[in-house]
Amino acid sequence: MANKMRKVLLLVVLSIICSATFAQGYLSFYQLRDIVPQTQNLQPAFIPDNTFSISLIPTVGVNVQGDWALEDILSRPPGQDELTVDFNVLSAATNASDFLSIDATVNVFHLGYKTKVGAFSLFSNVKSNLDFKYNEDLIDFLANGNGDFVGETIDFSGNSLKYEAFQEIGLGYANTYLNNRLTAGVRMKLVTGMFHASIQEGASATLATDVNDFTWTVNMQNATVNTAGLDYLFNSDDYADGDLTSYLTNNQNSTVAFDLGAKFKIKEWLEVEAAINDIGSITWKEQARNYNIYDTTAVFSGVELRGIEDSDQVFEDSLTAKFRSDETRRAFKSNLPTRIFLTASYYLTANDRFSVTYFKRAALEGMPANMAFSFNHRFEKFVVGVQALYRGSNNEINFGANVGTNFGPVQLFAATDNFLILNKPETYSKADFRVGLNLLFGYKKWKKKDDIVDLDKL
Amino acid sequence: MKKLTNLILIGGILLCSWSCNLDYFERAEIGDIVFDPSIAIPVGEITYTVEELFQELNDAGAEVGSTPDNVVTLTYEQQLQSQTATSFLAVQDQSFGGTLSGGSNVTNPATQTTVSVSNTFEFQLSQRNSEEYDSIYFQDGRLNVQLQSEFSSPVDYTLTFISLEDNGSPYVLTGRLTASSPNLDLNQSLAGWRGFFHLDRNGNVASDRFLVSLAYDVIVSPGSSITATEGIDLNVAITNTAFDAVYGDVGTKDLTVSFDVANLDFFSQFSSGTLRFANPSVDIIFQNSFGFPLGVTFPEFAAITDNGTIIPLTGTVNDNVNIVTGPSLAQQGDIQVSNVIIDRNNSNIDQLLSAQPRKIVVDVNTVSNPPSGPDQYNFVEESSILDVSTRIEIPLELNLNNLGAERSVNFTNGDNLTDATRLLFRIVSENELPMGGNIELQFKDSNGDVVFTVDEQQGFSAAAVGPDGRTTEVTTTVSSIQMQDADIRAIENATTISVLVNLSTTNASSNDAVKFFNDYELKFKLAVQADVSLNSNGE
Repeated sequence: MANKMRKVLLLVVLSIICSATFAQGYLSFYQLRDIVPQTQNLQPAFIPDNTFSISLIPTVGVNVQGDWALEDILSRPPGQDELTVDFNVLSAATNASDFLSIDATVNVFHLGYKTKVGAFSLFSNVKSNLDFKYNEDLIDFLANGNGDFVGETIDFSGNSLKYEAFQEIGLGYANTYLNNRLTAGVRMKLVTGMFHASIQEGASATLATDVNDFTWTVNMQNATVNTAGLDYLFNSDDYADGDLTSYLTNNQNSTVAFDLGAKFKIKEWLEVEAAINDIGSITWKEQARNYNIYDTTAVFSGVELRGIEDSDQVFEDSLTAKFRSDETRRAFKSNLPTRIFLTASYYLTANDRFSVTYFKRAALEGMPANMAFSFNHRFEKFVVGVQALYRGSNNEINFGANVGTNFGPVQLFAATDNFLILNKPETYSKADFRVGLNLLFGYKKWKKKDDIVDLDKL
Repeated sequence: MKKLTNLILIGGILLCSWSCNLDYFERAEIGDIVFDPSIAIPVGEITYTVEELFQELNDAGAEVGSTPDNVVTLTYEQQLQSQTATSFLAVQDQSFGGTLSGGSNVTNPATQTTVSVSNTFEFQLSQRNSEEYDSIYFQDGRLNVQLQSEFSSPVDYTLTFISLEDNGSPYVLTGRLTASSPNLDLNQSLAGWRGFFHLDRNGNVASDRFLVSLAYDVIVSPGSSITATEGIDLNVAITNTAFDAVYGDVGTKDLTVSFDVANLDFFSQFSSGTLRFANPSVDIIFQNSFGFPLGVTFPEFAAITDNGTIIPLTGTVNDNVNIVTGPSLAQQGDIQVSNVIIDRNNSNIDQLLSAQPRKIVVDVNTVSNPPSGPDQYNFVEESSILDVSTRIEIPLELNLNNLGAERSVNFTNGDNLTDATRLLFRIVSENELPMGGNIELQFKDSNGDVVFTVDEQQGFSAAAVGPDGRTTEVTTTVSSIQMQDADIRAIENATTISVLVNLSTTNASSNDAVKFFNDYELKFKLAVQADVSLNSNGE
C-alpha cells in the first residue's frame, strides 16, 4: 500500500515537472514575434515573415505557474533522503493570497498566408485552464485544521477555483497602415465550451471556532459550484457511447470570441505593442449543473450526548442537517481567461531589440502580472534572445531564452521562461519550455535586399 | 558567422553545464505524506436538571420529585409490614353447659300425664383480656350440641339458640328423647351463621351473652314415674371458628412492627466532607381498616452510619403516643390513613439524615384503643388490615461542604486514540445550581491500578443565591484537560475512569442551606482539540 502510494505520488510529481518542462513560454515565446507564426496566438498584429506557413504537427503547451516552489511541494527534511509532502511547509510558503495556474493549449493546426499589406491565418486550438486562488487561511486550515484558529474566524472568502476547457476555431487578419508603422490585427474565433467547473463569483464562507467550547459557526453565502459537461465523466454509465464525442464537437455552449492586437512604431527605434486575447464569455447552457448550498449561518455545538449510540453517524447527520442544498440546471456565464500583453521595444539596430513586456492573465480576479526585460538579436536564418522575468507575487526572477531558426522551409523554434530550471529546480515555482516545427514558404519574398544580413560578412 | 555560431553553442553548453544542479533529487524517494492537523471539535452537550442529576447520583434508590413549592426532593418509600385481621384477632372456642330439671314428682299416674318445663340459659362468652363481642358473623366453625335425658319416660324437647341465627332466624332443634335413646349429640356447621351476644335474657343491652332456650314435655304413662330432680343436661360448644366480622370491643392489644430502612444509596457514595439537610422529614404512614383507633410509639428509632455510630431519635414525637384512627361503623370497609410525621419540629430527624446514615432502624409499637385515643365502637372484618409504610422525604434544602463522591464509569475509547498525539479536552459548564464541584479523574487499568490522573480542578461553579432563595445567575466555568503524547499512550489501556467529585453549595462555609428548585439546569459542553498524526501508509 505504501509503495503504491509512493509510486502514484511520484508519477504525479513527475507529470507536473514534465509538463512544465514542455510548457508554453508566454513571455519568451512572445519575443519570437514575426519569425514564428504561432506567436499570433499571443499578438494578432504579428505578421509572419514568410508567405505561407503551416504547423506540421499539433503542438502541446502546458504552463504551470504557482506561488509554491517545488521544494515547498516536495520538501526534504534536513538529513533525510526522502522527499515528502509536508503540509506545514506548504502552509509556511503561502502568502496572504496566492495562485496556482495550469493552462494547456493544443494548437491543432495553424495555417498562415501573408499578403502585401497584411496576413491571414486559420487556426484551431483546444485550451484547458485550471486556476486556483487560495489564501493563507485556507492552506493553514488544510494543513493544520482549525486548531490554529480557536477563538478566531477562518475566512475562505476570496478563494476561488475555476476550470474550463474549450475548443476554438478562427480566422485572423492583420493589416499594416501608415507606411507599415502601424499594424492592427484581429482574430475572430468560434469558441465551443466543453468542460467547466467553478466556484460562483461572490461565494463566501467563514468558519469561526469558539474560544471556549469550540462551537463552529459556519457562514456561507452564494455558495454555488457550477459545472458543465462533467456529468459525462462522473456519471458515464448514464450515457450512451458517442454521447460525449457528440457533445464535445457540437453543443450549445458556444460563443464568439476575439483576439485584438496592435503595434506601432513611434520612432525608427521605438515600437509599442498591445494585445488582448480571448475576449468573450461562454454561456454554459448544455449540461449545466449548479450545486447550491443555501445562504446560512449554521452554529454547530456538537450533539446531544445523552443516550447517544453510533456517535460518528449522529455527528455527521447533525452537522449536515445544518445545511440545505440542492442541484439545479440553470445556465451560467463565465468569462474566457483574457490575456493581456503590453510591450515597448527599443531597437538598438534593426536586428537588436530590447523589450519590456507586461503580461497579465486575468482568469481570476487579482492574478499578478509578469514583467520581462528581453534582448533579441536577429540573424539571417535565426533569431536568439534572452530575457529576465519578474513575477511580482513572490518576487521571483527567472531568466528565459528563445531561439527560432529558418533553415529552409523547415522552422524549428524553442522558448523558455526559465532556462535556469536545471540549476536547483526545487527552488523554482515556474518552468516552461516550448518547441515547435513549422513549414515555411517564401520567406525572402517580403524582405528588402538591405534587410537581409549576410552574417558571413560580419 | 561560423565563429559566432560556435561561440554561441559553446556558451550555451557551458551555461547548461554550469547551471545543471539536481542534487536535491539525488537518491531521493518519495516518502510518506504526513498530515498532522490539530482539529478543534465541539463534541456535544448534555444538560442535567436537578432531578436528573440526583437520579444519576442515587442509583434509583430514591424517587426524585418536588415539593409544592418546586423544591426537588429525594424520597425513600418502603412498605414495612402488614397486620391482617386473622393475625390480630382469633375468636376463642366456647363451651357452655346446664341442666333443666323437671321439678315434679309423678308416680304411676292413672292416665298418661305430661309434665312441661322450659328455661332460657344465659351463658358468658369467655374472652381474652378486655375483649367484648356483640356479634360475630361466622365464616366457618362448628356448633356441637349435646342433650342427655335422665327421664325413663319419653321427652319431647325444643331447643332454641337465641344467639345463633341461620338465615335470620334463631336456630331451633326439636325431637324426642326416650329411655332407649336418651341422648342427642349434634354437630352443626356455623358457616354463614351469625352470633348475637348483645342482649341478656331479659332483653337488656349487654355483651358476650349467649342465650339458649330449652323447653321439653315429659310424657308419663300409667305405671311410669318421674322425680323432681330428674332433668335434661345441655352442653353447647362453639369451636374452630373463622369470622367475616366481629363487633364489640377488641380491648387493648399491643402490636409491634420492626423494620430497617436500608436502601439509602444516595449517601453511600459520599466519602468525606459534611452534608446538612435543612428540613427533612420522615412520614410513617398507617393505613387502617380495623374498626378501632391505634396508639403509636417508637420504642427504637435510630440512624446507623457507616462507621457504626448510632444516633437515636429524640423529641416530642418520640415521647408522645401518636394516634392512628380507624374507620367508624358507618365507614366499615374504608381505609383510614394516618400519618405520623417526624420532622425537625418534633424531633432531631435532620441530624439523623445529615449524618449520611447507612440505614435507619425503626421499631413501631401500636396499641388498640389507646386511652388518649377516641372512644370508638370496634369491629374487625376478615379483610381488615393495618399497613405500615414509611416515606422519607428530603427536600434538597441543604448545605454541602466539600462533600466527596466517587463514581466509576467504563472507558472503552482507548482504541480510538492511536493517531492522537495531543488532546485538549475542554469542558464548559453553565450552572444554575447553587452547588459547585471540583473533579478529579483517575484512569485505571483492568487491575484497578491508576495509570493516569487528571488532577482535581473546578468542574462547575456554584451560582450565587438571591434573597428569595433562588440563584440569580448562570455561572460558566471553562476547564481544560491537556494530555500529551505520553499521557495518551498511558490511558490507551485504561478500562475505567474513577470520577472523584467534591461538592460544595453556595456559601458552604457559612453553613447556609440552599434550595434546589426543579427548574435549575446544569449544562456541560464537551469539546476536544486533537493533534493527530496521519500517515499515508496508514501507520
